[in-house]
Amino acid sequence: MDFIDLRYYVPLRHLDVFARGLLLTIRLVALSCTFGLALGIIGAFLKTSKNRILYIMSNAYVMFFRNTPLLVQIYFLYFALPTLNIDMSADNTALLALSLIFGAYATEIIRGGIEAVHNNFIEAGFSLGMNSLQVFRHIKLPLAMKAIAPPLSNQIILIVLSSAIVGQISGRDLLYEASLLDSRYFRSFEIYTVTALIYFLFAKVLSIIFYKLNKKIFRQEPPQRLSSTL
Amino acid sequence: MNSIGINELRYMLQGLSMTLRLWVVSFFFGMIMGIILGIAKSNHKIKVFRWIAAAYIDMIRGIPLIVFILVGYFGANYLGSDIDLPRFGVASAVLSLYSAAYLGEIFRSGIESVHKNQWEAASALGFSYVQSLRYVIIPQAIRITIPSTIGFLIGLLKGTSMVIVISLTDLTTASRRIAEHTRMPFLVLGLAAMVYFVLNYPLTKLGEKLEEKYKIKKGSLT
Amino acid sequence: MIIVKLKDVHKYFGSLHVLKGISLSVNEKESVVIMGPSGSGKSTMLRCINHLETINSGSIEVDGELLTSEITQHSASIRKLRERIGFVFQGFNLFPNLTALENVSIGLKVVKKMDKQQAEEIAMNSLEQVGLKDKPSSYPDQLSGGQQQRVAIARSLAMQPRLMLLDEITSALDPELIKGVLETLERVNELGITTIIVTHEMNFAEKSADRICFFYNGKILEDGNPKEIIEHPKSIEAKNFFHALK
Repeated sequence: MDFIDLRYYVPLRHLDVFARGLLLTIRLVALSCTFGLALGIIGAFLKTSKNRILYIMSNAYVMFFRNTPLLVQIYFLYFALPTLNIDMSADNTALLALSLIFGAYATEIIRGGIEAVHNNFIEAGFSLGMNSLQVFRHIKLPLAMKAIAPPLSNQIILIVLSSAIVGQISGRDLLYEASLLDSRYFRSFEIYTVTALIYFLFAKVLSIIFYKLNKKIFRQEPPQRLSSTL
Repeated sequence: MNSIGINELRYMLQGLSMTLRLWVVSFFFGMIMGIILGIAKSNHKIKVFRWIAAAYIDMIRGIPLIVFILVGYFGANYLGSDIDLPRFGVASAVLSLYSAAYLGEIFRSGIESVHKNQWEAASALGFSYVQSLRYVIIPQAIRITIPSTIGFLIGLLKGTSMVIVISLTDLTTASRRIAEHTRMPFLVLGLAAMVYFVLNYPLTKLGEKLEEKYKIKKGSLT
Repeated sequence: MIIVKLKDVHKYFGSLHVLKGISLSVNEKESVVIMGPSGSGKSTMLRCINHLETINSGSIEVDGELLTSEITQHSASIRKLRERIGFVFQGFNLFPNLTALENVSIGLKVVKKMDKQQAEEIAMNSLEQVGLKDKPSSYPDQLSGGQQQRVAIARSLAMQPRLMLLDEITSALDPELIKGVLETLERVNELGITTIIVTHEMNFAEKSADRICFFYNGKILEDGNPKEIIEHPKSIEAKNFFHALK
């Protein structure tokens, strides 16, 4: 074996680059999960409605985003939107893509939680004279929160990991900044292992925070995270 | 604007072939390693196994696949610096290692879901630890893990698209290039999306069906 | 010949003192019934005899083997011993992925290393003995509770044990299914297999057992002839217990 010449001082000297990248990732994830959550609530509402057309629409949305690769989705938006004369920056395109996919997963999670709400409570709402929307907003959603919070927190962590992809359309995030560093210094292995470590630590910290939050607010243990980031 | 002709389609088919090959190979090796990891992580007796398996799984699951591929590729190049490493081999190896972690966790969960009574019944008959695993526990664990495994299989197909970072041409990369080249993104990328969808959708449906079936059956397990 | 001998056995679960100096000798071909209130330690003692639980002090000798706290759960000597002991659980614990025949024959194939044909022959025989010869291809979830329990008995019988331990095998069953299982038990006794049975079924004890041991709060308070103990118990606790059961 040749003399192994690892120069970790390269990435370590540029921790500010990584810090900047991490902040970009955090911003990206925070925004896309917020928008995605809104999409998810709407999607869940549509998917649990009696209206056949609304159901099909929301189901199509979910099915499309869950069964195709994120990369294809992001390329699609990046290349196709300009042809419709919609001009978005790479960062915003990335934000849109991540919001859409988080929305798709959120729809399923929220829908699952809502459908688990006991019928008795719903009947009580209708008996009071509420309409569907009011029942959804004041009864189903609040009661479903406890079941929704853990898988939703897991999904946020998955989005953090999935977000690494935005560099492929030059969206700026941690991996993108790391790759810029790589193109300057060519110490790829060192740079990317540090990048991996940062993602790992960030995901770990996030999962601990969510665990404590969930326990405190909902007295709920998060379920095992079996699904992957893909 | 160029049009889509037979050459473009052929290029996409090559990409598809790469995607499928990566998918199958990685799942296969990932499954083998995953079962071993799952058994190791659920082992009560030898703490070292449990610790190593848990550390590996935890580490891999905390890293984005795209980053892991980069680390694996550059790491492999580092170790074999004078050989020009085959990129398909490296990609498959990395995807397999990645799959092993997720499948390992799924499998561990399956093993631990098998009721403790089954272990006792096997012990009472005189089974050893290995015999209990082999004849009683693992068959039941596999049944339990099928829905989650199908879920992962879907994710793995989507994950093969990440090999773009090491310049392997899979379906996604091929489609992107043609989309840029022909300036017809809707058609080309739409087509690619359709292909992935056609491959994944039946699996999604199958997984949902099996999950329902398993939920009902669980009530009758002694 | 004495097949099971417990001498001053103590067992703790954490700080809970479950067995408080149990001494018991069981002869070959005897049928012993263990009775007593819930939580008195009956099942625990049974599980100690085939080493599913480890004792804290005292000694247990089973068919020539000495069981101590040092022996681990899966050691070779324990496994060999378990080939000669049949254990039937309250919850049946049949393997849900196997048919009745496969459940009964799996021990023979895997532990006794018999070939498939021989194992299945013996298994069919056992199923016949428990009255289920028409159900070999049924899965556990297709059988009633009583039938499942009988398959469990057949599974132990097929291993040709010298000793069978049965832990409240009718407690999880609906009343109308209990009769079939008890009849099967009587047949097991007739086969000359030593049995130690934990049960609440007084009629069965009176009719079929050679001996009753009355357990109370971790100790054996009475030990002797069934009729004697049920009709004329010596201790107050036994009096109250049997009175309540009648």
